[in-house]
Amino acid sequence: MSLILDFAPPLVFAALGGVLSERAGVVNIGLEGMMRFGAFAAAAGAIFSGSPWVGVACGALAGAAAAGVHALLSLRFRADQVVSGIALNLVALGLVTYLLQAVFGSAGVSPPSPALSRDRFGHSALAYAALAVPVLFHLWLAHTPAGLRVRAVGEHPRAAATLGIRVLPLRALCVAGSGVLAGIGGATLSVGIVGQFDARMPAGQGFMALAAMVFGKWTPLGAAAAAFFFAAADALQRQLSFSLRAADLRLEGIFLALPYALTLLVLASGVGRTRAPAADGVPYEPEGR
Amino acid sequence: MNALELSGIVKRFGPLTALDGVSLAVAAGEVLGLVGENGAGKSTLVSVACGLYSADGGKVRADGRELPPGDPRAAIDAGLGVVYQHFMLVPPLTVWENVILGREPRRLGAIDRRRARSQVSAVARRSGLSLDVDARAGDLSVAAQQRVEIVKQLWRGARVLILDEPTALLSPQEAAALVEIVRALAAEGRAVLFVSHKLREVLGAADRIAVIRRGRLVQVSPRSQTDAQQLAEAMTGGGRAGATRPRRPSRDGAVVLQARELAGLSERGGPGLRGLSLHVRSGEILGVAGVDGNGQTELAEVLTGLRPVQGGLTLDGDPAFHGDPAAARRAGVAHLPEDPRRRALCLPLSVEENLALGRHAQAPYALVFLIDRAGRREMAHKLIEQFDVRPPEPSARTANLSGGNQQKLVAARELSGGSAPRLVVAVHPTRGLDPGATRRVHEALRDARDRGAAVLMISFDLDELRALSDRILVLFEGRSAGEAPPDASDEQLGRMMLGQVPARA
Repeated sequence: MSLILDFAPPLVFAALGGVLSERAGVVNIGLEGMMRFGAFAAAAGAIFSGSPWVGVACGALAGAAAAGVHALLSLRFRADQVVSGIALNLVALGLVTYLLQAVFGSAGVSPPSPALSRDRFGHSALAYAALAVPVLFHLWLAHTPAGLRVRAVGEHPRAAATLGIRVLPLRALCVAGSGVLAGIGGATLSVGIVGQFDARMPAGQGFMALAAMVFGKWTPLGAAAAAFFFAAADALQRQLSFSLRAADLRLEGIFLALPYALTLLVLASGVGRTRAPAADGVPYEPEGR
Repeated sequence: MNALELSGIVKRFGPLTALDGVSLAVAAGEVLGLVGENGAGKSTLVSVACGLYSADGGKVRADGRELPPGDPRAAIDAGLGVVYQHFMLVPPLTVWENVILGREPRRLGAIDRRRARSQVSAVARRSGLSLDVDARAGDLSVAAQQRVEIVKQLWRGARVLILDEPTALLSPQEAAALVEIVRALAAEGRAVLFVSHKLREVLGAADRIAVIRRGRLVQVSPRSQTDAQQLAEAMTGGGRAGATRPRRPSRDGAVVLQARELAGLSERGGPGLRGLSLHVRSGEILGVAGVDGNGQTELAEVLTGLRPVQGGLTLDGDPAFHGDPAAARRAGVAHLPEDPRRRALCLPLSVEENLALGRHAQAPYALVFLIDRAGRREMAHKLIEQFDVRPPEPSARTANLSGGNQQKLVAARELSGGSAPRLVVAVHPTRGLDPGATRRVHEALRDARDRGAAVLMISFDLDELRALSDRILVLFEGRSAGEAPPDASDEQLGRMMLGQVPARA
């Protein structure tokens, strides 16, 4: 159980980032890349400042900056949102690998960074935040003027525009917020859990977060629940492979694939009934018909 | 002072001049009718007035104050409210959420739900518009959605109300009710701009009527000094509109469509079909009347193979196309569906591509397995000319055509795009069309009939049914409530539509 609360927070934050962006009508395949920037910036920030919280803030900022590029490409220049997201992932892969080499002179891992302090159950404050933030996000989306506007802009942007809501700036804000959340997710990986940056981060967690978002029907609570479910699968996998390691090393690969296979299964079975926001991924043209 | 004043509005889309120096004014307490054909520039003018488009020239003033161009918020703040032809409601949101969107009453940073709901209910009640404020907007009927739109504007304190084609999607009874509402709103001191091409309704609602043609204002006259005939002439630029061809007695053709005891539930909660039997002969038009939701949609979908059903269904004696739209098309079923934007056209494609859809693998649209661009272009020019699609440009994006021209496009493809159809299923074929376009679609349906097709036309417009049909069948709760001759009165048909008379004509 304790492992779940360790593994879930990165997924939860990134999945919430996905929900924020897509409820506003912008597809965000770039979560993986934003997490990667966030994870690296958090480790670097923590190492240079000596404070893990400064690291988390750096991670959030880095995620937001990456998201800013996505917003600029997809909203201002109306690039295809999927392509823009994929491009962001590829840039993150290359650029962060380069930065790791340039800053720390390493191809594998950064030096150990100051890690977030843990309570007597072994959890950092971010783990508890991962429980609280989905609820706050839900309340915000359901009960505040801003949340209502976000939902309207993701479903029928022109209707929102006729009521004086500025569609593109609102969407850009949501994409940036999505980057902040994904960046914090990445920071949770590096300064929260591992205590250093690893060149393989986030190892597909951004895509798992996308799956959690879809599985959770684009709602904050649903996406968070799905993230916890995937984290549980991940924890189970580690337990199983740990106990079986002595018996048969060849089985390990199969167990590693378990959470991903489970993701596929879940999507194949439950996804048929979910519905994306109506204007998700559709560029908004102010004077189109 | 005028509540709304437009002066010298110019708006261009690329090389196309949609509005060429239009000036209009509406005073408080007045209903100004604005009429014009599809594509004349009515909707563009509305979009400029409310700040959704910024004009290339001219000024918009509200209560004498100039509004900044391209700023919807300023227009709203100045008391301008628009009810668009294609409603601007967010379907998954509730009625009250749609109404308050953008101007949410707040308490402690959150939406003050209780205050919002009670304000919205109060506005609706005061204006005599019945609404369930907690319903999801997407679940409402078209008429109820329109009431939401009106309440939305009134709640925002609109003193100038612009209604863009407000009756296009309404049944005659609903349209009459709307005209009453509009008169009441004007009597309260609001200014109303009533944009439509349905002359009868404009004449019923408006104090003055302005006519716009090809982006230019051609006349403004008080209601007492004009009539439908004169307005139609002004809209089309002379030449008499109307003048329908006399009905040719239909031949005693062979039965093309035979349906026996069709039954199937509707997923929308309506009765669906409950044992409907009917037949249509070659060379005749069967009109289908009925109040919305009595099985019309299901019937059209069954006949075009889109919906499987229980019961017997044969076309020229052959049951093959049952539940298979591709087979139905091969068997010669043409379909003019009720919502062409969603069900008949691929809006991002060009006009000529849409004309070829469904026959895109046959000559003249294709050569073996390649698209025949020259052949398609030639055919597109022919069809565009025949059906007067505007702009007459095969490569234009279909989404940029006005609603009426999109509907003409569908009629062109379905009725003339290939070999002569055996069965034509037309659902509200002229809803939203101006008189000129309506005449063309009606002629095309008559042509199809004269060439031996069996035509089944579903409509709410009793005048249309009487003008075209050889027989009128009345649907009631998924069954036939009986048939009536084409000269049946409103009253007779109305009683049958309510299921009160088991009439046999």
